[in-house]
Amino acid sequence: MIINDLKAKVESGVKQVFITDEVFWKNEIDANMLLARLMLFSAVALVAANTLNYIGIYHIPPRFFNAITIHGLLEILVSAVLCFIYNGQKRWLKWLMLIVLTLTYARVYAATPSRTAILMVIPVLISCRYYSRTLTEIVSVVTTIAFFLATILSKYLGSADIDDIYAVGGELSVKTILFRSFLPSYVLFWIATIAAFNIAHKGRKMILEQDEISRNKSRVDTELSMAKQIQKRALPDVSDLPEHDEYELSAFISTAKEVGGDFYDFMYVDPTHLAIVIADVSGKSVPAALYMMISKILISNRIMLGGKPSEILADVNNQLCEKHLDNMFVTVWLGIIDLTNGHVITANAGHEYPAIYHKGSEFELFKDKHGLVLGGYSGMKYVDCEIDLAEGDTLFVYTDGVTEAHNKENVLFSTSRMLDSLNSHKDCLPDELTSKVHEDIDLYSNGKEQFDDITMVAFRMKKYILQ
Amino acid sequence: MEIIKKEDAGKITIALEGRLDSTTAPELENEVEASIAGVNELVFDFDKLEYVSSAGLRVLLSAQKKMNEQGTMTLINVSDEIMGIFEITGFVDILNIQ
Repeated sequence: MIINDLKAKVESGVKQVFITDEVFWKNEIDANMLLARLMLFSAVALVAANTLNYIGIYHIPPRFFNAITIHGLLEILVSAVLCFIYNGQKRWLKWLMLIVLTLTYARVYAATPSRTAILMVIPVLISCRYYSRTLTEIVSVVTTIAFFLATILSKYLGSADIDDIYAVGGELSVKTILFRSFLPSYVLFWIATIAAFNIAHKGRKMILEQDEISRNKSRVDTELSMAKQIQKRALPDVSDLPEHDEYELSAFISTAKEVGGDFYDFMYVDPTHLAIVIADVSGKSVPAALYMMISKILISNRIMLGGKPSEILADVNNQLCEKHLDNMFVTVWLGIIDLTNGHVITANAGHEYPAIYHKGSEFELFKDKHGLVLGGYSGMKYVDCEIDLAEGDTLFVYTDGVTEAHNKENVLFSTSRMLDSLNSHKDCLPDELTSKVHEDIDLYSNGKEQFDDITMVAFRMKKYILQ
Repeated sequence: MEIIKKEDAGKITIALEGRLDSTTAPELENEVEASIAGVNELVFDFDKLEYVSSAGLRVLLSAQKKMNEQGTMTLINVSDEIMGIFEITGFVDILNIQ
């Protein structure tokens, strides 16, 4: 069921291929709102300039400037208000506003070219905000035409440049105005415009790349969460075991990343023998998870063929070595418990020492003889060890995520703290025992991020199976 | 982690300082791969090494396999804690520790 949900999620991830347009549309709405605010600001500046002209600071022919101000204000206010009404969500708003802005600026330029040359570059610069090279190109063409005409118009209507009049010493010809007033500004305009083309083009590319990255990330995230579910389901559930009053078993796992290399396994070899496996693959994340799947299957298949734990580990080791998996390896503890008498035969391939609680005493490490981790060298030998569990005894196995959990000062939880924790809950049944130890680890690490998978299996021999 | 390498006619000594874990192991792996050609004696000096994780063990395992074909590999000045890691993981059986 969950897998199906996740599949649906991945498919919706495929649909996201088309969201790039959506990204640009969102950007366009933002840009429209910015442009509307800039237009209002331009309106305020226009009124201020007109006022200054009125009180005699500038010497622009007032009739012409008043007409510009009134028309400009009207056009600006209408287009800006339309933008606010539609919340910027119309495709034509950017054209309306940019053209109104360019034409208004061109008229102001016609009134007083020397002071307002900078107006020529503003529409083009604002158009970059849309990350569309075409838009910026069209705005630059409109600007060229509008300002060229405005320059000619300034001879008849505006206050043509005073220093030009001074230089020429009288009436200015259109040619003089174009060369002396328009041309220098227009060269500067092109410097800014080339930069603007580049910004619009690169900005678009950056957005596309970012979009690609975030889509890939969301796809990988979904796939990883699917993988997590699959890996979780690969582990057995205690409730799947046939009903049993003779013992209690608890298995706990908490992975540091979505998927991890720790695993446990348990199964009946025959009606009176229960096999328990706990293992830790070197490395983390996806490679560790894949290696975990291979080793888990090899181990459980080999257990079902029968034989002593040492033989099982030796065979699995050879099989893993044959695969030449880039020097990855797995540490494994394997125990087969005779449920009729609590006799456990174990073998250890480079895994942590198990902790044993004999009723009435304390949890202690069982220092079994260790062989090399599985997958390191083929032909390695492993040794069988024996443990006898009386009724009421508990066997606890774990991975190094328990002992190597650390706190903010980077001090390890350590084997001794683990034993302290076990002993303060030594009479708890396995379910409670593993959750108490996990609580103690959490308390100890105190918010420090979990670095490694934490896995624990606890087995309590309650009473022997009667034969 | 710091890697200090000394070369001497077919013998290389690599001294490690700090932690050999999943963040620093790739660095050591590259260093070993780059310098192992034609070497018949590789020595790791663990005097100032504080910790070895499974990622570090993997690099040692692959170095050991390579050196098996072309000479010897030795670990010196191994602290008790790191010796404990080698014992638990069974690496004592395949490494030459002095």
